[in-house]
Amino acid sequence: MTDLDTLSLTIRKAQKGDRDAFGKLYDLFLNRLYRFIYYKVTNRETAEDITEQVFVKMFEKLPTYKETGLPFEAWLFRVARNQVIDFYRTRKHTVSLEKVMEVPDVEPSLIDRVHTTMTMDMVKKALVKLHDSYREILILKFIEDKGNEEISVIVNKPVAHVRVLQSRAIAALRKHVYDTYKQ
Amino acid sequence: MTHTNNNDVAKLLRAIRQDPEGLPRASFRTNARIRVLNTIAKPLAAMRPARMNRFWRGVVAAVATPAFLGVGTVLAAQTSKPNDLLYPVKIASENISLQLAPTSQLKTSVAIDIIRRRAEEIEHAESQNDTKELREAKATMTQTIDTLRNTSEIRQEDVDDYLENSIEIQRSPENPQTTKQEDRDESNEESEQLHVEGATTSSLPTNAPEENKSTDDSHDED
Repeated sequence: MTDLDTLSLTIRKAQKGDRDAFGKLYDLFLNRLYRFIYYKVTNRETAEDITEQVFVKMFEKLPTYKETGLPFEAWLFRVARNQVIDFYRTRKHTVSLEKVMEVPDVEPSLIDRVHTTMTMDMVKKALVKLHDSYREILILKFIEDKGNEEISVIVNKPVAHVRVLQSRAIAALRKHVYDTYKQ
Repeated sequence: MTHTNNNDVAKLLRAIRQDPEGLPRASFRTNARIRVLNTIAKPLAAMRPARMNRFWRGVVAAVATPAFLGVGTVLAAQTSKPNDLLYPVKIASENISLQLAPTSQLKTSVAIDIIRRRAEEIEHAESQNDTKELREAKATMTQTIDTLRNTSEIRQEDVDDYLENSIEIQRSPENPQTTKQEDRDESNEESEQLHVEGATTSSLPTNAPEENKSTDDSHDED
């Protein structure tokens, strides 16, 4: 039996009220969901709260999930994404307009110099400063290793748009790393 | 900005995947699992198909089994485990023993013996790492305790004393955690829509921030 078959069976069992099956889904997806949420909200306690809510929400919505529709993981990530949006909405979180999306020109030689000394820590700090849409695309693409088609399903945007967002997100990330380097 | 440079950025982003900061704490992993399963325990049970109460299944087996299987089978059933074919016979014979005990003291003694057997079944399932058997064993234990509590002439305080020194039984909480649903329902209706915006290049945003805002802003969900 393939991994997909096993997952499919586990989902069906969970939909019928099998406690062990639901526990298996929790074990299977906890790390990936938590990591996605953590790098979106960048706070451990908040990420824990939201992750727990996501699994309760997963249970509530599981009876409506159909395997002929979205792949389960994409469906689950979409639930997680919506839970983060709800979290910010209920806390009346507003996105600062200073987190602009356009990328001003920077001297190429400086970019190259930044590039050779760029570290993971610098990238992580820059990731936090990105606009949420950019950060989300980079998390899904590179940290969660999802394809553009799957990302487009999760964020509910066309694939072409996802590609554009991705290249702009990387440019914005490098700009923030450069700003940090300049300081 | 060269392709090579973007690849290096991508490599560093991928390296974040191994960052321990992005992993849930072990305590959270364990405790959240318990909390989530407790929260959904009652509605989860309601999703399962209705089954005959284990006690009555035992009674039915007690009536039907001797006629077909005989005393030897009943004796053989005494070592059976949950999910074994003869397990209902074991339960039935315990119920008969309980009913036939003439005094309160003897009934209480039989009741404690039954609980001890349930505890041994749980221990056996745990030692075998058999999750299905463990689940059945725990459910049977819970059912057994409920039945014994409703059986008159059993000295409940003696049973309680024994239970306190025995395996702890996990019970569902009375009130699962609830959260406000109104805001979530509204956003979930939007999230359930599977329609995807038309993917024509003419509809793609340009570099201008104003055009980006309408399609990139995460508050599009409103």
